[in-house]
Amino acid sequence: MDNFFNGIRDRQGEKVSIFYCGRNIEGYSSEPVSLALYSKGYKVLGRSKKLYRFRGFYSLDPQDRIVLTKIGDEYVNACEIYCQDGQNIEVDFSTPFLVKVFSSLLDGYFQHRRFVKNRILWRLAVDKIKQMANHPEVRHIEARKTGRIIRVASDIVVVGGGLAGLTAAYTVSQLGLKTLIIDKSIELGGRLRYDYMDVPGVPVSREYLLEDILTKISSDGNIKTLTRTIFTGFFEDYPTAYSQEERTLYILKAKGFIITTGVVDLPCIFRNNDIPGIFSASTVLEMVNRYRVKLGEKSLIIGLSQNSLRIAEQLKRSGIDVVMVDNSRSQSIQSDLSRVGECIVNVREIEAVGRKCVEKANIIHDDGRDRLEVDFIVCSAFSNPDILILNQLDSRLIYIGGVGFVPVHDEYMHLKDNIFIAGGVSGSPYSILHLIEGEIAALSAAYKLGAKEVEPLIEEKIKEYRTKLNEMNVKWKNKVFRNSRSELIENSSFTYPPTLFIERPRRDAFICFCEDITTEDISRTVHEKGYTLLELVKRSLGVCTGRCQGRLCMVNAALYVSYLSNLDPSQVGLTKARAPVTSIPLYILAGGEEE
Amino acid sequence: MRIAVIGGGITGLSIAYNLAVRDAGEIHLFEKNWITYGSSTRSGARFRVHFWTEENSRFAIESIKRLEKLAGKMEWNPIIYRGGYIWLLFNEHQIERFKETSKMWSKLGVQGVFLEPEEIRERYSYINVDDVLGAFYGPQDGSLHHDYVCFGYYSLAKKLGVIFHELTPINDINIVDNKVKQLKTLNGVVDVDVVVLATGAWTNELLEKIGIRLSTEPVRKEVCLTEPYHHFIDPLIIDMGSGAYVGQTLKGEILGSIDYPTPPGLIKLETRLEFVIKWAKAITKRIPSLKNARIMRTWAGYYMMSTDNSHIMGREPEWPEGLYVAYGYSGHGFMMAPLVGELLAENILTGKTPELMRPFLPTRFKENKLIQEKLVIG
Repeated sequence: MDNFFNGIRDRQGEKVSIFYCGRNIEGYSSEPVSLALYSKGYKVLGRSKKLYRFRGFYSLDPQDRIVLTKIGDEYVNACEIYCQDGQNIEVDFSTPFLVKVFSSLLDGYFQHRRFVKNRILWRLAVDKIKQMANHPEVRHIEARKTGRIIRVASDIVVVGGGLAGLTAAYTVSQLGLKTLIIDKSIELGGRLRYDYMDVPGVPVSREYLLEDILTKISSDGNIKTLTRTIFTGFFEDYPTAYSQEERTLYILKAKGFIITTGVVDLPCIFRNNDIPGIFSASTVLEMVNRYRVKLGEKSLIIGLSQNSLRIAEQLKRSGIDVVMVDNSRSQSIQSDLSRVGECIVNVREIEAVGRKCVEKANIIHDDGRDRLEVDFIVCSAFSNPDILILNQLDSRLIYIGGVGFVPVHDEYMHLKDNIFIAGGVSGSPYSILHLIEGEIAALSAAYKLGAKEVEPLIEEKIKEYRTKLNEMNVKWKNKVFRNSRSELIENSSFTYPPTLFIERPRRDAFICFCEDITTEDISRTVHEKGYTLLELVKRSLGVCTGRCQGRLCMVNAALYVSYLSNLDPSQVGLTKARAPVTSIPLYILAGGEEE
Repeated sequence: MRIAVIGGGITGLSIAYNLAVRDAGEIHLFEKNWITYGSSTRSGARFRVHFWTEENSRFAIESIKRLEKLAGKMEWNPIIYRGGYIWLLFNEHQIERFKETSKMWSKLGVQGVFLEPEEIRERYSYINVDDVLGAFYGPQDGSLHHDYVCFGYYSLAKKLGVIFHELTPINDINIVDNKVKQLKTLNGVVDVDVVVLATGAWTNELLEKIGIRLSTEPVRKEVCLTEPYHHFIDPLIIDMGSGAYVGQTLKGEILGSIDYPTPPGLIKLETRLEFVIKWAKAITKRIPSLKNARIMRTWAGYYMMSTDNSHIMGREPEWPEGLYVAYGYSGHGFMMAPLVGELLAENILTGKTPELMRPFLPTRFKENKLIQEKLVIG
């Protein structure tokens, strides 16, 4: 047990004083501001755009910019900024009078025929509407920062520094190729850093695995790393990455890319699923294990899967009570549940209760209803590969029930042109498969770059890969491989959205947090307007057009539309993502002295 | 009569709606992707009435009037907002030319205002006017919601019985006895009496199949969009020095673009970092407070350029009977389409050429009666 809490090293950093709406709060320089505030009970980081609802953070990922907080004189993602002495955090708790009275004016539809018909009334209304949204100010902030643009060349760029990415990077560099690892987190390791349980199928312990790979990487002269840097996608002329910390845009030059961006834990769709205290599965592990923040006494985990069980077990070990719920009737893993906690299945509807943070959860299931006191809720029902970059690249995506939208790739982990993928982004479960895929992607990339001698090694690895896929019962990969060899995409079948926990469309069950779009908005578009292509739903509502660029809402929206319209998800489709996949400040693009 | 409109963008939708309103018969609309897919949904979503030529200005004025009238009938609010356009001018020559042209605008009832640098600073404190010599402000210009306008036309047309064939590309147009006869689609052949090409940037491909050549070519244009911010930029600002433009949508995003050399043709709709950097440099110089804004998205679409930068509508007498076109807007199609649909529908049904439409006939190239529109933005 003791060993369990010993992270790789102590991550407390030095104590600092920060100020939340004038109140002095103690934080640690190694913690993101959002986390320091949450641990002290200050959970509201901002208000939502249209409805002015209280919002906290859903994940610590810098790409999930669903709420911006005023820190100092800038509006930033409070998960991206680390505590510094004297920081001022301001949250405006008031709601404008007009929004209270006319909140319907701001709904996703903008359908005000009464106003439109009367041109004078419309002119008055539009003047008010444009001022009503809760957006950050950009105008009155003094622009005194400068940024820079740096060109970086490498043979291979690996996007993501988790198990798959690090393995790939090391394998590539062993073949004498220069490698650049780009990772958005503060240190390499990905899930190995915060999921304290061993990796399924890997014969060594997690600690050993992590230390071993990090030592190899850091002692390898061929490998360079950029941490706290987000890969921002492929423009026509250059691939780019961006670091907020360094105020730098990197223009990348490489002969091959290995994308290992992992998965996104999708938010679950239930009533009041936007209030502070609702987190993604990996964020909860990160907070509990890596930052050792006391999140509360009682938790609710939505979703019953091997992954949820890992989370439940780790929460339990840090003294948090767990209740697990799911909508499915699956009994397969219920046998292991007794040791982790209570479990409610056949759930029909969940409602989070609380205004500024989660206090209770109402659960309606086949056998009645339960009212639970909870301190936080974990969304662990479904993780989709993080396909934002691949979607921007126009790669083919196929929907696999239970796995999500998966990029079509072959056994060589080849996606298209000089781009390879490995790990969670290819849909594989977190296991030894990530390691093997990392190796295969690396070898294939090297082969593509001219290292023809690795061919027998690749074939050997692929044999091992196939055996492991069979052992781990990952049969659907064959369908993906099959599709990579033909132009046509096989149809998937209709599935009940795994993240859906409401019985009917609700005004308080959100799909898109950036643009405040609810299940009711989407249901109206599908039923009244008859739009069932996600591209058209996007254009009518603005879903997937917010600051997170659809990272959190796109798959949920597609699955929900498919559920409402009885179509299979590949018919509904996704929307095209555009470069840059994470926003870049203009001062960096404009002020960039090229180096 | 069976009429096929090819293209489900704003032009096709407007034509189909106007034909249906006039009870033209059986109207089919073919779209190779989904409604709005082509250049309509990639539009900058602005309209203006200030053009260099009287023909275009007059056309735009009437067109916006049509759209405003229709707004109350549509199921979608087109969100028309007259925030104005402001052209920042940098030398005497530019000012002179605007002053000259503004006489024509006043005659048409769309007077603008000339602003001195101090006045610009007073009205729009966020604009850096250090090197600006003056500006022309057109209060009649503004913005609309491009997707909602299309959806509005779509729902109206659907109610009136227009038959929509989405995801249905047209492979060929069969001509028999110099008369349009059939359309070939993946699902088979459709008999038609009239074919209207509202296929924007993709028109040349279809026209060439029936041996017609008009001098038009698609040019890719790229656009940048920032994250949404509290509304503060009302007009569309056109920097006549750098060739950049910038405006703010009602949703709060800041949208803009800049001239950037691009080879013509249907090249892939991707965007370049070099372009984004050029825009960022120009726009942060003009509006320094935008330095803290963050670019969220970029996308590209085509301007279908004609030799005189004005649209082409109607038919040439030698063409196969029943063939009409409406395209070649050179970047200002969205604002023209409401009237194009109305005039072309009249033209198809009555055979008469309405006065406003006459200058835009395709025959103008042979007759050398070019319109020569010089005010193209972006």
